[in-house]
Amino acid sequence: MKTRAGTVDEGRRGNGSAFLRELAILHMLAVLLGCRSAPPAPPSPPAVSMAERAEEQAAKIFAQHNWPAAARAWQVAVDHSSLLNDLGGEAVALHNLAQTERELAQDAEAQKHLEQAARLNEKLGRASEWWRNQIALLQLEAQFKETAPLKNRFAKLFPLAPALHDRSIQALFLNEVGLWQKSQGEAAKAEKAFAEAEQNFKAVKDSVGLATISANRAELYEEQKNYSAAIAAWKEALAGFQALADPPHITQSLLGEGRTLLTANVDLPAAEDLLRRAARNYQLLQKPQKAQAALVLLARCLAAEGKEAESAGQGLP
Amino acid sequence: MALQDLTPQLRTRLGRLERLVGWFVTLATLLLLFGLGYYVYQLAESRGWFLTKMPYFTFVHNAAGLNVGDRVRLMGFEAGEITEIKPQPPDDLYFNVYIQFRVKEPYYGYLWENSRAKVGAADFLGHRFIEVTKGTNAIPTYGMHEITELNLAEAEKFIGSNNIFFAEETFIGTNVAVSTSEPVTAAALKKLAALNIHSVQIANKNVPATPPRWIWDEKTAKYKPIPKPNKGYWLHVDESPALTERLETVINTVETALPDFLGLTNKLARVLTNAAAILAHADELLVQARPAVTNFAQITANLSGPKGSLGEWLFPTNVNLQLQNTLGSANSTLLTAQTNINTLSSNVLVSLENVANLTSNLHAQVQGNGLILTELSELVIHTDDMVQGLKRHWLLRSAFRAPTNALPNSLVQPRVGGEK
Repeated sequence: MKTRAGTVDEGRRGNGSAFLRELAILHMLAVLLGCRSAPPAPPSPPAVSMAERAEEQAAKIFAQHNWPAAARAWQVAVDHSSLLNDLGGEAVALHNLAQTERELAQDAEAQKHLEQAARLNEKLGRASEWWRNQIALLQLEAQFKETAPLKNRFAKLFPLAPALHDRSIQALFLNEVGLWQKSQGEAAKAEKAFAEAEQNFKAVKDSVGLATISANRAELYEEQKNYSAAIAAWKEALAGFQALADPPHITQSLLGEGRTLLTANVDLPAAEDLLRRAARNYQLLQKPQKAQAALVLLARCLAAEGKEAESAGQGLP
Repeated sequence: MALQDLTPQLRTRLGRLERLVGWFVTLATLLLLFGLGYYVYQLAESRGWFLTKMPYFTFVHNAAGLNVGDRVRLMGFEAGEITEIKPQPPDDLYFNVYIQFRVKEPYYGYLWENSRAKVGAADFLGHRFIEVTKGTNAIPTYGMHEITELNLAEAEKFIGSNNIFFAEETFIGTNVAVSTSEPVTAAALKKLAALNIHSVQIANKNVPATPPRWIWDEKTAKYKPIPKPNKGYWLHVDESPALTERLETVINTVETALPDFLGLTNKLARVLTNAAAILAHADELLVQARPAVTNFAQITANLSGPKGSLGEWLFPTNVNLQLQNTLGSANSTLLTAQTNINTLSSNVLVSLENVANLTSNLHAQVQGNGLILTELSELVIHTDDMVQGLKRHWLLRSAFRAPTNALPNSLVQPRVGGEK
């Protein structure tokens, strides 16, 4: 009887669990079928969506490094933002148009647009964006032969720097400061600026910034004739840029390491290999002047290795 | 617990409650019945159950793609439905399939003697549909007004009456003596009397007939009372073949045209080879002509020389021969080129004709199946609606999130010093 009763209980429990399962399924079905879809979002006005689409399009083309098309696209974005009186959007588009023009070696246009963007951001009180404009201007003016504009800009920015709290922008600014001080022969100050910039880049987990600091530090060591530290820094920079899959900077790191090895007169076969790869990569990147500089270094390397005949055979300078 | 076990107060209260519940249930039942009745009435009205429906029939070659219950259209409206489809007896030499359909009010009023039942393709799956066409300048298939048959003396009373017309056609040979919709006049009645006709049908358009009681009889050219059972009025068919058959025809045409096309490409290849040969010959010709030109220069030099006369100077024999050969080969080359160009132009003409046939066939297909394009377009729109709805459904919308990338900021990258 006990067994029989147990069986009946189990049967009841079984029926109960089946009922619960069916109830759960019914509940799920009701939830799934009963909940209607949300109503469609109201469409944004055509002019706004056109402006947004223009910016998205421009950013995509910029990321593809198609500079002439990117310049046209950013100009369209500037026009759309201007039509909507969206000063913030116009400033961003002007800044990015200028960056594209820098790639196209249209420095005068780039400077004009960056100044316009900075004025708009100043008017709107957008400090971070204004600093980005200023850093881009520093980078642009660092390429000029005349150093006076750069010096004046640093003089204007140094007093404002303590109020800067965005660590990413701080790092970018300190990197520019370090490069300026390096160019002025103030190696110790430059080293300090790079160290601070590195701390900030680490804080914001900016891999590009860290690899860049390694490369800049390598150049600094190279100037100080501290070749072993320079080679280590170049290797670090190369690893960083390789991880980021950044062809121009990978090539620059290859050239830097090869040049340092050649100058230090150590491991010349490795230097030759690095310089060969750098020269070839610059040709692939369609940067003939840099390729020529790499070939000059390669010729020097081959001469140092006693391979003048090979150098002459390959038509190296 | 039984009601008798309760106290009198509780029993009174419960009795009152029971009465209330009874009223509530009765009221709810009445409301339910009223709602159901109203729903059924609305349904019947929307589906046209209260409307008068008149039967029609037609004959088609093939019943493929047609089903009982399929809608019958008129001018784009759903005017009725197919009620019967059955094959004709095996010994029927003319017709294969009998199709009966009903047309509802007011659409049967548009169907006149010259209306047609068009059977066309409805979709790519082989379905077909019947579309009846509106009649023009003819007699309504069902008498829409009161019709009476009178002798000529009685008909004379209606001479000059408004909206009283003849409802039958009378012929003298093949010419119409009196037509329907012609007002009753003394001249018309005299004409009928001269033809020894004693009775005539007259329609009074002041009195509508709902439902119609008369059906047009083509044979006697007059209305007759609707027989019981009413098979309906015979609408002649205008049947287009099923889409699959038409596609098969197109494919057969393409198949037939394909060898010609391939032949054309072969001929083109041959023409190109010949053209290459012509060029080679031309090159040869130029090479051969070079000595001739040199000789010609010598001639002119001799002519301008101190002696200056042809008498002291003759063509060398070898130059003469070379010139003859050159001219001969140039002549043959030109002839070959002319032949090839003629062949090429005739082949191009044939191919253009084939292309024209193909495009005209396609045009006919699109014209014949105008509804397909509309339905395809609607299908795409509804599918898009459905997908958009699914994208917004609470369960699925996470799979279709909008891109979260914010709009681009001012882009700045750290600079490596050696880039200068």
